[in-house]
Amino acid sequence: MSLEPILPSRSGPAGPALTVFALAGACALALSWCILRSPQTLHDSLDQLLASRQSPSVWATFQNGLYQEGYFRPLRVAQAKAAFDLAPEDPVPVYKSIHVALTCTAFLLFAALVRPRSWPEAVAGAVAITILMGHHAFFILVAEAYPINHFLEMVVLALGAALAARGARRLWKEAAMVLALAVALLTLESGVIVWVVAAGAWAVGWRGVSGRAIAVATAVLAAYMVFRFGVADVGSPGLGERASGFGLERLEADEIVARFGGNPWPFFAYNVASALSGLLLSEPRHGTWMVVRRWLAGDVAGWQWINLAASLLVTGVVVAAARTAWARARLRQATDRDRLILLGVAVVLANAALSFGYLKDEVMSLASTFYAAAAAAALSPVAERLARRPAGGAYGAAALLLVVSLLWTSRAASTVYSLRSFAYRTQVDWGTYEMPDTSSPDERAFFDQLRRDAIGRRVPNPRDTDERAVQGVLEIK
Amino acid sequence: MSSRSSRTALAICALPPAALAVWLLLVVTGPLQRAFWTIEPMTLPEAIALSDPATARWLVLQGADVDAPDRVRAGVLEAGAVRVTPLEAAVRSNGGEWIDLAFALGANPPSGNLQRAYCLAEGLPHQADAWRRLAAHTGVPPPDDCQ
Repeated sequence: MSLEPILPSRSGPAGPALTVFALAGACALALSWCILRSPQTLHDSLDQLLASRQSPSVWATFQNGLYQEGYFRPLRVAQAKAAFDLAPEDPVPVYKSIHVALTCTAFLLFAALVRPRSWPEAVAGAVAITILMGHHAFFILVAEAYPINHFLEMVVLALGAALAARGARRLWKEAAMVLALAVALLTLESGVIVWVVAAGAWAVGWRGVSGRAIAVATAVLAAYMVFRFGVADVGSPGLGERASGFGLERLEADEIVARFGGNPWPFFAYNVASALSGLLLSEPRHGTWMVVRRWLAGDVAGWQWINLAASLLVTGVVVAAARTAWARARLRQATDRDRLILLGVAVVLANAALSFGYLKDEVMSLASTFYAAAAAAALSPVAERLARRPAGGAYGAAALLLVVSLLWTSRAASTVYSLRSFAYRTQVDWGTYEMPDTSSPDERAFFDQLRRDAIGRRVPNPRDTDERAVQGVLEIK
Repeated sequence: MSSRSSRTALAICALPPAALAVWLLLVVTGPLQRAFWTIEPMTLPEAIALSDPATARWLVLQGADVDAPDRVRAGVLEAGAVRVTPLEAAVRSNGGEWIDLAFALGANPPSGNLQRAYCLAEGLPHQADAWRRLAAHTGVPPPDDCQ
């Protein structure tokens, strides 16, 4: 069936893509603005800063990172050290610049992946950008830096790998994909997802990188596994290393060991299922079923219904589209949208499987990024139904698209409000934290310098803002 | 749906993200910046009364006197604006760690002010805790009579 052109020609064929890039740019700009005004993260960052200060070189930091028990992240600490060495007297502006650069790159790569070619696709792409920005799994990526947010780095690398895999085959794209995978694997456990993206993209039919390049990537992954588990014997984090949500409560690390130490599989299964559910339905959060808990207490907040409804609608559309895409793929008739949807499904499932050890919203940030991309592909046909004549479900499509657009835009706005609130809470951390008695005078002097930077930033006190009024309808994370 | 109403419907669906973009740009470029990123000038007692340790520390670094009374705006400690020392603000508002913070910032109240701080805690839910902390920091016991 041919489609009636919608909002045609005046902006030219580049109009839809430019519109989505402009929205992505506006979101990235606003988030960067908040990042630059916020204090540097204290917890999870200070130790890294102090270690970078003490380490003699980037190489020494990298080597130390090779053999840490439970975690294999040598490039993560080496990156922090390399950035630190750019301005050892005042490293915060360097880390802020990196955070802003990663944020802007993530949004622009996402817009490139969504790549609308018509106005209906542009509307779907715009909604997808609000999903990316408004999803709770994405929030910490812009709120915190440790001192570099490696989850955000993974998103950039994975989006880069997906873009390399799409379109015409080029040698440089293959090299870039393999390099992205190597960097990701040496930085964070979630780096494995970059391989899933590359292999998944090839499996669904994108041929920007060849099967030979995928074989090289697989060899890199195998080498990583052998080194991590065989040579360096790093292993995986133990059961009792982190607190995690379970059912309606949050279990401390020792409680997890007491309850699941003998048989961790129910805990792992719960985590995988909850990671999946948390991504697709916005519940549970950090493994805890907050809506149920508040429903039992009789005080479910308005924003919780918004989150649930927003996720239910989009997940429903994506699941329906995925079934169609799968059916077409089996007949070797998959479209480009189908491929993006199937790739999104693969990333979501892989990311959930990797979350078996513990649950934090940001651990699923790669999945949320590709969920948003899949939503763009799944919502495009809904937007196109508006173009069909006669009516043929156009009213239903219009209602669905409008409601999804409204709900996810409100969630995207909540991210900006949450950043403001989070900046204040981070500043409070700096205002109340005291260095341990065992720290040296040099460390204390460095801490005082960091604290002066953090508390000297002009961050609004929530009492002086509209936060109380806003938090009835928007989630303040 | 006609072609025109289809276009209108599609444009309406695009309105929320478009409005978000406009709002974000207005916040970043200035016109709505103050409404969103609202910074009110704050005194040291006010920062403590508003549980804002970062601003309190910053004001001390800027030279604020930790024992001097200053204005706390209406609606924070009382319905009207009041004039109190940072320690009194801590006692009156939150007690606990805020009293500790006032001393950590260098509070060294003269005896009259200390007695007043003790008496401001009288009758509050956290009176016992506040008195214990005041006594621990100063070595001066609570007064026998606040009348």
